[in-house]
Amino acid sequence: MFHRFPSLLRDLWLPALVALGGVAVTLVAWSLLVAQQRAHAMGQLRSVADKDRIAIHTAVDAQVSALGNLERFWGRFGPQPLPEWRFDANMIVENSPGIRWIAWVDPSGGGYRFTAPAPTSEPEPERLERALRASAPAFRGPVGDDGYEVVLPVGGGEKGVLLAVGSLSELLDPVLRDGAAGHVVEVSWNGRRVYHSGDADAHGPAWWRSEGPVALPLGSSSWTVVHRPSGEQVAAMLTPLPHAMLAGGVLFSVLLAALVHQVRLNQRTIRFLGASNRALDVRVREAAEKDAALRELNQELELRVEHRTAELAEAVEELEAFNYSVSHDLRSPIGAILNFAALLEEDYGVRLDDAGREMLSRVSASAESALELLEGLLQLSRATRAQVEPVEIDMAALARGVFAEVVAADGAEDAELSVGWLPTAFADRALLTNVLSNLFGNALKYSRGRDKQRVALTGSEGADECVYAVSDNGVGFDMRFSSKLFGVFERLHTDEEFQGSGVGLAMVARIVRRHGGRVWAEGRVDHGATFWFSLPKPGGRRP
Amino acid sequence: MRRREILIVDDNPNDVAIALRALDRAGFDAVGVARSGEEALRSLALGGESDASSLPERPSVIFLDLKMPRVDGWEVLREIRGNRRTRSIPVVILSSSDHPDDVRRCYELGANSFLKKRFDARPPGSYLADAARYWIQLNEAPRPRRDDAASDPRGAGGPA
Repeated sequence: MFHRFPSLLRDLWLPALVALGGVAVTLVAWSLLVAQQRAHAMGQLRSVADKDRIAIHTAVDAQVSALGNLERFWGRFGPQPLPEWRFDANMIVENSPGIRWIAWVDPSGGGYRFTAPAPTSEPEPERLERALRASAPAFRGPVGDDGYEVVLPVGGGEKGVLLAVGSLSELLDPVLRDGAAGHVVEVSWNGRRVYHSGDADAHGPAWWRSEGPVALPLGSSSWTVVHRPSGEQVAAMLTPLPHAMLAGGVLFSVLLAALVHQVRLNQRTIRFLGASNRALDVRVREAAEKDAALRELNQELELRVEHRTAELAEAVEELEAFNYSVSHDLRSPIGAILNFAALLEEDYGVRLDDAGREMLSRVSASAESALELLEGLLQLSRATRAQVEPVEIDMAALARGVFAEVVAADGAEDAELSVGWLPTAFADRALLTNVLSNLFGNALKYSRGRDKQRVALTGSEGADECVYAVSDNGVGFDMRFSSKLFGVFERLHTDEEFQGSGVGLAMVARIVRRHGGRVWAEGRVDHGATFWFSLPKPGGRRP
Repeated sequence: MRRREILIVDDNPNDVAIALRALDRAGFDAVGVARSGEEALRSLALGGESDASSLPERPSVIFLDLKMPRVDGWEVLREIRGNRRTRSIPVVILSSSDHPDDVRRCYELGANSFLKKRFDARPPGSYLADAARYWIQLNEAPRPRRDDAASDPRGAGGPA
């Protein structure tokens, strides 16, 4: 949590600034708009109010001055006959809105005179008494709910008092009907509301009002006139536009801030992605370089291995060629020994004594066995150098054929071969024939002298290879020497025991290995031997 | 009837000695020996120069060794088969190796028989006398056509 705040500050200062700026601009615009709206509204109200006040003043002044003219006329010329008096006074009543009736009160002269239309009831005695007490002209009110009085002493008070009684609303209505139309107008006199027009309960805003005095004649206290807008005007002029603009502006600011924030986030993401991209690029390039170096090294190694393998193959080839040519070249001299020993015996045998003939036959026998060894070596060499061309082979058929040949050559006519189930072999036919021939030959050789020579060929099939086994009921061998079985010229028996060159099993091993298989053997002295060899299945391991 | 002349081409004196003795015992008295490929070609009047040696110029049968220095048996065989005069002389290859490649190459070049040198024959070399007798008798038998008879039976009776 400790690191949250700085990161928040870092993240949000610009959007916040944008939001604040937007709101500030909106507020300024809003206030300007509101101010303009108010100024407009107030200007209109004020001009109406000014006009109304002047009109009120004029109307009151005109009334009072008309009454003043009447008083002056009465004061100079005395009481006229009643009809004329009434005519004059009625003219005033008719032409002065608001005035209900006019009375001349002159207790000393003739009592009371009233205008027509006559007052609806007898004028209150207090009212008349109060009028008579007036020593100076006065404009008085409010009287009752709506009334006002103009009292003018006639002739300086010597000829009574002129009393005009009016209704304020009747006075003000025609004046305000024209100018203040649509406004709420209130008129207060001495702290009392004496008149109102329009819906007095309509409440405009507090600032939207115009209040001003209207001076009254005859030293009377002034009226206070208040103008306010009507409900319709409030609705019409105080449109919600500024507020809508304020709300819209604030909303816009917030949205703008959010946008700025999003853009900044995106920018940061882009920057981050760019940076990580560059880092990745560097790593990819490094990896590619390493890879290239490794591949180069690998190629070099492969090249070296290839080179060495080629060298080795060449060396083996040379060795085999040497083996072949040595075996070959040795044949002639040894053959010559054999031949000339034969000639010696033929031509001079009779001249030799027994010991001499014995020696000669040893020479022959040695040369013969040397030739036999050479023959074996040549065969071995040939088996090693021959091309391996694997084909599918019916093992049982091949085995029976080979066995018959071996039996014929060996002379073991009562030998018996039992063939179990055998998997089909995949091998070079000539070389496999050689293998079987050697194994059968061995089996017959080492079981010679048994009552019944028995040889068995069995087989089994594994996942990758087929395994075959040739077993006999011969003299067997000691497992201690099993490792020597497959070596060239390695023998477990002397020539006196069993004739042999020591090449056959070596050849078997070489051929099987060239096919990619294995050879092994098991035996017990006097309990027979078993020789196994395996051949890989096609498509499995290759040699 | 022509003398039944035999030519042995072999650089190995031991083998030559055995062969001579065996052929002599078998009654072939006119046997010439060339101790190298060059000598064989000279005596057969092949390869340009000819000398007046005692060797037969058109023997009834030729025993030819393969492994000889400089001009080897295959070379000699090619020359013999390449010349109209000597083309029909039976040639028996005599070699210490019976490697399949060697055998095949000899027959391809036109050899009549391929014999591996044997050391178990008793008396020694008697198999050569058998072969000589076979080829000479075959050549002397009545022939339907003059020239092709010698090359026809190649390998037919050859104890390879």
